[in-house]
Amino acid sequence: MNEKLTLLEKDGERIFTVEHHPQESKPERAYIFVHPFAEEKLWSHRVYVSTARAFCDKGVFVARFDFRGHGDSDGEFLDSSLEGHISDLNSVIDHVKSICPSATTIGLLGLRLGGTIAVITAESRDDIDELILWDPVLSGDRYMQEILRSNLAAQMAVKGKVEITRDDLIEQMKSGQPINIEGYYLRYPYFEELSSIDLVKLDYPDRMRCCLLQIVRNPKQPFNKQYQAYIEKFSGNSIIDKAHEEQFWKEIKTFYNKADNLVNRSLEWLE
Amino acid sequence: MQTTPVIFENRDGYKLFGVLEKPDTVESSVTVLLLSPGIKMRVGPHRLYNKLSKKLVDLGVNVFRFDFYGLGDSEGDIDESVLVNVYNSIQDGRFVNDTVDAIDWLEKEQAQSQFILGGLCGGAITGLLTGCDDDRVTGLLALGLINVFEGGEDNFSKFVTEGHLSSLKEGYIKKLTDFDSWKRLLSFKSDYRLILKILVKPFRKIVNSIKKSVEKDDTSVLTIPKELEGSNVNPKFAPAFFKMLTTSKKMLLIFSGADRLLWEFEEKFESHYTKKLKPYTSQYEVITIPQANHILGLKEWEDEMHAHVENWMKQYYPLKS
Repeated sequence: MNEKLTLLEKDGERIFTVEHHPQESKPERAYIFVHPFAEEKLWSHRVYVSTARAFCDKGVFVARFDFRGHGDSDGEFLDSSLEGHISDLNSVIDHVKSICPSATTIGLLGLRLGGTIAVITAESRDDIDELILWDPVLSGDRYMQEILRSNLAAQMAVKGKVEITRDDLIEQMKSGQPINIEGYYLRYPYFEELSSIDLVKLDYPDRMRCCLLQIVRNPKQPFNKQYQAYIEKFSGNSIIDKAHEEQFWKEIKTFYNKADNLVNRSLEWLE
Repeated sequence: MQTTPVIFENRDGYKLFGVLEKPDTVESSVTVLLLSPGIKMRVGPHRLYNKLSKKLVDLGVNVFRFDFYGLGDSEGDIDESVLVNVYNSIQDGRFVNDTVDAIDWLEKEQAQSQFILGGLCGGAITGLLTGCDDDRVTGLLALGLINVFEGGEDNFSKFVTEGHLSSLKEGYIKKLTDFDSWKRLLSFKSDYRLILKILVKPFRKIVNSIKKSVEKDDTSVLTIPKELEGSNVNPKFAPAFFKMLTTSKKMLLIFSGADRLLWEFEEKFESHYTKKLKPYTSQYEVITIPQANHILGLKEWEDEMHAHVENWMKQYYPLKS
């Protein structure tokens, strides 16, 4: 396995990319990993790294990258947009296709909002054959409400009470003032774009296969009904399953450097 | 700003991943190493390090941000599964060797000769423990420098500082009118040791002030003061801090006003070595950013930190024309 750091040029800015080259000189499968939102990206980073290495050990070429405004890529988080994310991912996919021409199957893997952006991008192209989605966000609206809740929790921690309600936060953004989410500043256009996402409304081509893994803290936890309905939108060979893991995209008491159940189930599906 | 992705090997043969950032127009032999905080990687929480790096590069120095083994993109594994144990191993110096290896690489491959170690929390203590023993290091830029080990939630009331108790007291007073809080108290779910500690705080304050007035400041920096025996204080902290001072290294210590680490530093270090620290007051500066949280999550807190860093850098590492 060989790992390489690359800076891809895009509109005068750089997209930081890590390439994982397997020992096979001509890998037939390539995956691009799409990271989740803001601080969730940081908490889940090590799981992404260990997963990329596990995929690579199985002969899969993997590229991980930071959206502009995230990680080591250029740009400010404040200027983030869904359109920009899709554009960045398209650039990385094209780059992977150029440096790994032997790959006849191109797949995307994403956790939470990373999974969502993977789906939207895949749907807009004709060369993505596989999707591995870990606890994807199906409803952007619900997810952004969750994000706003973290601002309220921060207010409670700092001031002992909620001074600015959820509605006030939205109004604040509408008036042009960004709001703070764990140190990241979020503007209304980005908030609105993400809120408007509804993966259930999209149509998916027959060639696209999907492995949807619902992360459960308790194996007895039932299947998410929305996930069950969503997977029906994909053709044969698409599956939904549960993977027993902690919520490693947030601060937990466990040091989570790998997610064996998720990785093994994902690799099983690939085989 | 020139950005170069870097992979270098540490002494154990693990490849460590990082980013070297340099000014476009000036060449500098000074590099600030921003050391990863806790288990977060080289960008820090909310990209704190990227933003600080830009600021430093604008001031004419190079910045190197890299991932320690087992973290970020780097090779290697960390075997501990409990986060508190990982944090404590960092506070005990787990990543000192990686930091020395990074300095070696910068010296050999990038012709750098002078180093400032910086970082938040775990990054700051790694910087202190490395810098005190390495002649190439001339300064420490510490955000939320941690001088204790994590006791975990079970030991919270045992190790809590007086400053932290004061901040908690307000919350408990507010709870007096809250029905759920009373329900919690009466259902034995509250931390009674903590509540008791808050209630007897005024008496403890009197006893401590009497004790302090008769104490002689004859504490050796190499041993834990008697009154701190059994506490969660890091025994490596005081010797390292004083070694930095006796070897004429400069330190900028920035604390967040709402962060327990400020009280830990004041109550479990500074107040026990008042006399011994006196001759060195010009060598280290302690800044508090009022109300700021541990990660400096608001822009105004971050801007204030940047302003202090800029002043300190201009004073001790002025741009050479």
